Formats: sequence, structure tokens, C-alpha cells
Amino acid sequence: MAAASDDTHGDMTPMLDLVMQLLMYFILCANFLGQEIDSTVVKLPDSASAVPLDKREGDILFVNVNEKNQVVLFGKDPMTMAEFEYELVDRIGPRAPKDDTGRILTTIILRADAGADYGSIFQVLTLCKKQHFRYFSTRLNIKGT
Amino acid sequence: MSKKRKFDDPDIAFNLPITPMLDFTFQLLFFFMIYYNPSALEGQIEMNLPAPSETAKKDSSPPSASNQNDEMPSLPADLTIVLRTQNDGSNNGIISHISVKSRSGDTPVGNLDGLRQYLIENKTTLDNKDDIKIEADSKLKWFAVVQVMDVCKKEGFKIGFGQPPDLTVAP
Repeated sequence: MAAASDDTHGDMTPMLDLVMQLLMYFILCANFLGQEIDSTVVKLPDSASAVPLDKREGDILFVNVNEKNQVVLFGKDPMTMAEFEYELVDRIGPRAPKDDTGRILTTIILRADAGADYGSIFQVLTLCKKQHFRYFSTRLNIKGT
Repeated sequence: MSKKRKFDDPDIAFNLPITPMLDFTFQLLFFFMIYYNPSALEGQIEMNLPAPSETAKKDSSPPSASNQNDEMPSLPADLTIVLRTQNDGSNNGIISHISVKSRSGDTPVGNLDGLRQYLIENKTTLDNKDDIKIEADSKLKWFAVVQVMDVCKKEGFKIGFGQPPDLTVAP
């Protein structure tokens, strides 16, 4: 019979190792990039021809269009087209980096909800182009993921 | 000297308290598990909205004062895909009619397979084999436009967008 003073200590080290491994996994998979890629704002349509993201993108501006055809910019409330135009003309456009000829170097990345209307998306593109934005791409879910 | 002797002494065992560390690690683990939100893999499609000067160059016409600035997105594409939708309550926002506008006229293609077949058959006859324009009703849903974009990209076209016929955009 074991003496009452004998303590039984489980070896905690393997458990700690396992927990650390799990922790590392969840930290690496965490997605804190913010509202510009928040899947609750827009549900991107699937596309078979979308290509993996170009990591060399320079200055970028995410323009989300939600299902209600409102424009959602990072850190701002959903806005109407008129409000987006005001934002573009008065705030975003003047601050955007430009080349020697005055062309805006910022890439507009359109993230439109699958249920957004084409008319709204066309308006967004038109407004951006009117403010001399030249580079556009659209984000889509790669089909099968 | 005395310290060194103390560390070397086999009778003195160091007891690192693992329990608080494990508690803390579990807290972190639960935090990250709760916020674990694996999203679908995002990709991108470049959209072809050339500068007015580039468009003018392709058109071989001198740039006018009006198209230097506030020009609508347009392309010198030989083909324009026209997409129509119905707002009859049950088919809101989906494609109800697809046709391809070319120099020879307007050709209905039926569905996406018909469109693919048309593009395969006619691509070799085009002057501009790179660009294609999509012109859709303003109420057509974006996912339906993306389906058409997929077909066009698969056949090697760069995509541009035309103004919806039922939408007036202020100049």
C-alpha cells in the first residue's frame, strides 16, 4: 500500500506540447485582416477562372458592394453611391499615390456580393474611373474551395 | 562560486510550475478556436478597363477632349455579350437571355454552353481576339455575370464592362 505522503504527478509535458501545437495551428489560421475581407459583409461568387492572389500588389483599396447594393469601405458604415462618390472625390482620390503624369497607382479591388446588382457594380467602376483610377481587379471565391 | 555549487547540487530539484502556463495556453487556445473561421480561398480576375489613351490608340483615332477624362468604361471589342434578366418575381436577377452582338448583327446563343460554342467557333474570325465586352441589365445579379466571365476567360478573352441599357449614369 502506498504511503499517504506519496504524491502522484502526471507528466504534463506531452499535454503541453499538444496544446501548443493546437494553439500554433489556430494562430496561423486566424483571420484578423478586418472588414475588407469579412465574409459577413459580402459573400463572393464562385469562379472557375479566378487565379490565386497576386501578393505583389502595391497600394490597394478594397471596395465592397453588399447584397443591398451599398458600398462598404474598411472601417466605415455602408454607404450609398452618392456617399461613395463624395468619399472618393474628397478623401480617397486626393490622398492616393500618383505617378509623374498624375495617374493614380492605387489598385481598386472590387469585392462584390454574389447577390449584388450589376448596375451597382458598374456605377462603382464608373465612379472610380472618373477619379482616374486605372487598375482594377475583382475578388472571387475559387471554385471548389 | 557558492551559487554554482548550488545549481550543481543534485539534491536541489527545480520545480517549474507548469499548471499556470497550461491554463494560460488553454485560454489562448479557446480564444483562437472560437474565432476560427476558415474562409474559402479567394482568387482574382483582372478587369480590363483601359485608360482612354490606350483605348484611343487601339481605335486608331485621335483622343478627344471628352474621352481624356470622364469616359465610361469601354473597350474596342469586336464582340459584346448582351445579358438580359427578368424581374417577374421568380427569376429575379438570373439570366433570361444571352446574345452576342458583333458586326454581323445580334446572335442569340441560348445559354452558357451556347455562348462557349459561339466563342470557340468565331474567335478566329475576329480582328480583336483579346477583348470582349459584357453588357448586362442593371438588375442582373453579379454571380450571373461571373458565370459569363468564366466562359469568356476560359476562351482567352479579357473582359470589359458596358453600361447597362436601363441605367443612366451621370457624366
